[in-house]
Amino acid sequence: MNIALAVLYAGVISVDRFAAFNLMLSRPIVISFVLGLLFGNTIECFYVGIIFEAIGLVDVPFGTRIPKEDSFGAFAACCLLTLLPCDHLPQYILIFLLVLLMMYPVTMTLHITRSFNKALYVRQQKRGRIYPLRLLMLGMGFSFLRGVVFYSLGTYLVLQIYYLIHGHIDYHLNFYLFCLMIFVFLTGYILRFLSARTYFKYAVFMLGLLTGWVIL
Amino acid sequence: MKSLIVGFFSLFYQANMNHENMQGTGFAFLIRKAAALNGISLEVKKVFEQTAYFHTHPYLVNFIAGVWVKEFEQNGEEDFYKKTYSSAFGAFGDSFFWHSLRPLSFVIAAIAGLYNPWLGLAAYLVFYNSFHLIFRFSGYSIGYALGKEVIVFFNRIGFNRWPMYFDVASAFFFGILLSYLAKSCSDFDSVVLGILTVYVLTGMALAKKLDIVLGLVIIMILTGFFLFITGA
Repeated sequence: MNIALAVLYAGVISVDRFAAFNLMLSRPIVISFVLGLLFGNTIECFYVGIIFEAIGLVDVPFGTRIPKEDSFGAFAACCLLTLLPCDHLPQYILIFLLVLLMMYPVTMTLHITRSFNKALYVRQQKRGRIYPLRLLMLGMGFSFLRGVVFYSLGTYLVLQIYYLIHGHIDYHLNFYLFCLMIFVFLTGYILRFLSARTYFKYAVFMLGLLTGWVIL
Repeated sequence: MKSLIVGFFSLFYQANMNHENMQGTGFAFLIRKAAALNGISLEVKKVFEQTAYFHTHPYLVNFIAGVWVKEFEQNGEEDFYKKTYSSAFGAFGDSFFWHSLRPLSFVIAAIAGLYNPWLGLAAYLVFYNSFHLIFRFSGYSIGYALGKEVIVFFNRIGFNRWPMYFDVASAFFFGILLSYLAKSCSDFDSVVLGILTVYVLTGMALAKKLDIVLGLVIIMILTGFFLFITGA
């Protein structure tokens, strides 16, 4: 039941990402909260969410640019951490790497969606009469299907590849510390990306660090 | 009321986005609905013309729709202002909503989510969408009221300075988030804290030189290796 809901949510993510709404239901941190609550592993999903969100914060859809599918990354990684009995760091790293790799073909499917939309538009244009509502509905439907099919397929493929190549290394390492170190590295990217006077920005960041350390 | 209806229709206007006319189909749809609300029935030819290339930030499209309808009613230059404002609002929207609001929403949600996932989820969606929906649902009426002078509204609220304020707030909250995460993961382990400092500095150094996904892959492998060697 939960997996069926997750698959339907994949369709909503795809629609929200580029076709309609833009209510940020497709942000990795939101996906990680939703899937974490759905599957009951909120903390692991949270750590996955912050890593993929950091990618999305730097890789932004400025203008007509298509950014990498950080939403798929968060969706697949959260699902796989639930489906797979991971308790060793090498397994986590393998999942992360496979998901990052799979993000590229899933991003390509967005180009397919746009080509499909273009074909529909051009066909009507040639006939000399355009029905915008029909085109928008078809576009939304196709986008929903893209999410359901390609997000699920991508996650399934990562699962199968993982089964094929995962080792039997048995080291009990700290998953949270691993995620924290990765996220801290990505924070460096985000800080450089934020626009404000350099020294002022870093001073405020340091102030935040101190405040966090003292208060929390 | 008209603004709310146009705002609602604008939620779907991007669905036919493609490399030929980008959001042109959606804009034609939106304009036809907006004009109808003002008692104007656009000719098929006019709607057809509006399906030509158009691209702007999705949250600010309604301002352009308002300007367009106003100019059309006054036999003005609706298509000229459509082109002018689409690129200007594209840049405005990208720099505020995509560049600055998302990091701040994320970091607030992450801090809230550490206490309760429901709270984190609500924090992101409420904080982000309060800005998003206000602009989306008020855009048409403001665009229609101010017409071709709609840019005055953005100057009045100092919109071009918002990204900087939000980025400074993001930097502060990122500090708090990292402190909390570091404290909860390693407490006062000075070695880990030192390594985390090196990590954040490395991220800053590589940010403009290395693609983020490639950087992530490299750092994952190195971190895994490091944790394996140290047995942390």
